[in-house]
Amino acid sequence: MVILATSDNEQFNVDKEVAERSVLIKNMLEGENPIALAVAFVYMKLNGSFIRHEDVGESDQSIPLPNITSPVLKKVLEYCEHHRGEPLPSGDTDNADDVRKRTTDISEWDQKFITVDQEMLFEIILAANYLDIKPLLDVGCKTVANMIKGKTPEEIRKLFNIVNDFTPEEEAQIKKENEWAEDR
Amino acid sequence: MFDVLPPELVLSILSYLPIRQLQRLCQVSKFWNLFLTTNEEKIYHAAAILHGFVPPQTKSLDSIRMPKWLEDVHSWKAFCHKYFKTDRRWEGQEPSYSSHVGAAGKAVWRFKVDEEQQTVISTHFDGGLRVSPFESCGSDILWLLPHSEVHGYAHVEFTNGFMVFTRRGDAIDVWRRKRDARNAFRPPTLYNDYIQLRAQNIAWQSGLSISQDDRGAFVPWTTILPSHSIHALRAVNSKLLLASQRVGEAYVYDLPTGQLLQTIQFRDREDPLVDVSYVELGQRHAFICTRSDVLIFPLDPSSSHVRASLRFPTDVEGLDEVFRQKTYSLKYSDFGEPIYASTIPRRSNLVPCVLSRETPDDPVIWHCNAVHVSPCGSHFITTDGLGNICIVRDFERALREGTSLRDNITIVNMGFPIMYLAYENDHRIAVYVDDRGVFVLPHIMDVTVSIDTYTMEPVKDMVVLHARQDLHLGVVQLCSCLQLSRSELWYSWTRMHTRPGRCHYFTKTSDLELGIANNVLRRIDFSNSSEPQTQPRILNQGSLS
Repeated sequence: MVILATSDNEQFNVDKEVAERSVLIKNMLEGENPIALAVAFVYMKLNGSFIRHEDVGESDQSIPLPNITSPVLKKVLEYCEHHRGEPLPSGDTDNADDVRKRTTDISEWDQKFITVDQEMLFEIILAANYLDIKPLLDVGCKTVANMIKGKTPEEIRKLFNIVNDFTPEEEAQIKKENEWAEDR
Repeated sequence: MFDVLPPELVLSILSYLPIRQLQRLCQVSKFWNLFLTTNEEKIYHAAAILHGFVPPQTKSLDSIRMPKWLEDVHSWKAFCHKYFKTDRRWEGQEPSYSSHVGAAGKAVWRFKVDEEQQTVISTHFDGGLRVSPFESCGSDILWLLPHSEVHGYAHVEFTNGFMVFTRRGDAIDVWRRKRDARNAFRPPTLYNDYIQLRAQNIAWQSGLSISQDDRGAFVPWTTILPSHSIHALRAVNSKLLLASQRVGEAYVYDLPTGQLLQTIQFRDREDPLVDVSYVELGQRHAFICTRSDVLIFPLDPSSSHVRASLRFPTDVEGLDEVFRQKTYSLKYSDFGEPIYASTIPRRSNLVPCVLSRETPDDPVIWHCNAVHVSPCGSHFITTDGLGNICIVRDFERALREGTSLRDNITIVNMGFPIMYLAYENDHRIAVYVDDRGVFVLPHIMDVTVSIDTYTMEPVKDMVVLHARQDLHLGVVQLCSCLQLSRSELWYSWTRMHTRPGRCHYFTKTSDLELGIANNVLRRIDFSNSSEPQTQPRILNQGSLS
């Protein structure tokens, strides 16, 4: 078992196999990334976070995850739990088929899992990035991309609460420069 | 989004977006526009991979060997723009540039395009072989073998600088581009017979081309003397496949060394009279197309006795089912013209036609007359005498796993016999349909699998485009050869006096010969939309008027 501590001082008991879906945690447990560990400690100390054990790396020690709140970690662990035992992606050896299916290929479970509000979605992406869980990061990025896809500029503004700061002239000019991919 | 996510994560989200959507993002706000413009190269590099313009492992623009039509491209954005425009033209959305290749002359029989040198090699109905430049102005031939050396209706193949043509008797002539041969190691075991050496002395090269680094010139490489008469040949990836119908054997030669790599026995014990109609070489397989079968042999000599056969329609389990669900038929008007899908005339050389999902009433009788394999080596296409184009996806996997090809087959019925087929780029084919003209099918992969490279949405319908000459020149007739490249469509053609669909089926052979004698070569360039600079004067020679 591995104990993970979130920024709001909640502790999670997780199977090693599940926790090691995260390349960051895997490396920590293997002692390959002592610097990340040390940084995390200092960060938590500065923030006044409570650390129970000084010696991390033993099986009963907690690993501090200062960037992640407990609701987000809960969600991330749900993902890791579901995908436990699957082979980890081996570097960047994606073939042409993968690329072709990139945008459409979110599995049904992942699709359901990632149906969350925008704030949570971004939090999951950040956590996946920090914890180095490539498949989850991909699912998150794809989901944001799918949200944007097919939308007009106005719809995208609405989606992300962006204010249109172009003058009508500028807008017309930008539109003209960026329409070669549109159907005519 | 930017208030939460760091730029590198935003970029990774953008890498899943098609170009059309990226351009819309530019229009959202000043900040977005600035972000996209600043990271333009990264973003368009990812887009080029997403759209399949380059393989996923492509690291930089410099690492790509640019074809001629992309030579002026120096940024990923320009690269994507050029591809985009070109594919739009392939879909008939924009005008393309159609030109006549004057130097190829008349009576064009077979031809092969050498994109690297920007030349075209042609054989002729009345004999002889020419190498002509792409440029449509003037009629300068770069290199020539007279009709005393190359017989009429000679077949020619070209691969990686090797030119292969048939000769009277059973010898096969292999020549190599002069500029390549100069620096290449030529194995001393290679043999040239006296006829080939004589031809070298007679070969004529224009004075102009000598100063241009021997563009278009060839030198003898080897003479291949097969022990049996050859009925079909094909050269791909510096390999040559020869098939002899009489003994039921096919031979695979390596062209640089002239060595026989493999002998394939294709005669069926139960059916000693095998009728070879076509042969084809893929990355990993040799294909022999007989009247009723497509025979597939692995190119690995160690497993040369493994033979896979596809017999239509009996071998394909439930082909009727396939015909009901996945057959598309081209619609023609009462006058025999294809019915155009769009009533608005577009200024394009390719016009979309109406395809319906109705199954033809006729029962299926399959007589394969050609087979072509995709450049990736995983899919193949066969055509039959009734106008069916049978698209077989992922045959390798089916062979490996021993599964039925049923789900991998899509059929497009063109209504009339298909005479020539060209396959390029894994998803685009062109066919010449007897008397109805040249058609392009830009997305032939199964409709449920094929993804529109621009919207990244699945393609709902099969698209068929009818190639027209210029805007008013009518249909292509008596096409004797057809070729595709990433950016160009080439065909030989004759303009007949009659309206399409009215003149079909020549009653006398002499009419046909008269027609073919006037065949000229035409090139449609989809990377370019400018109008032809010079009105080709040779055009008149090309028509019967």
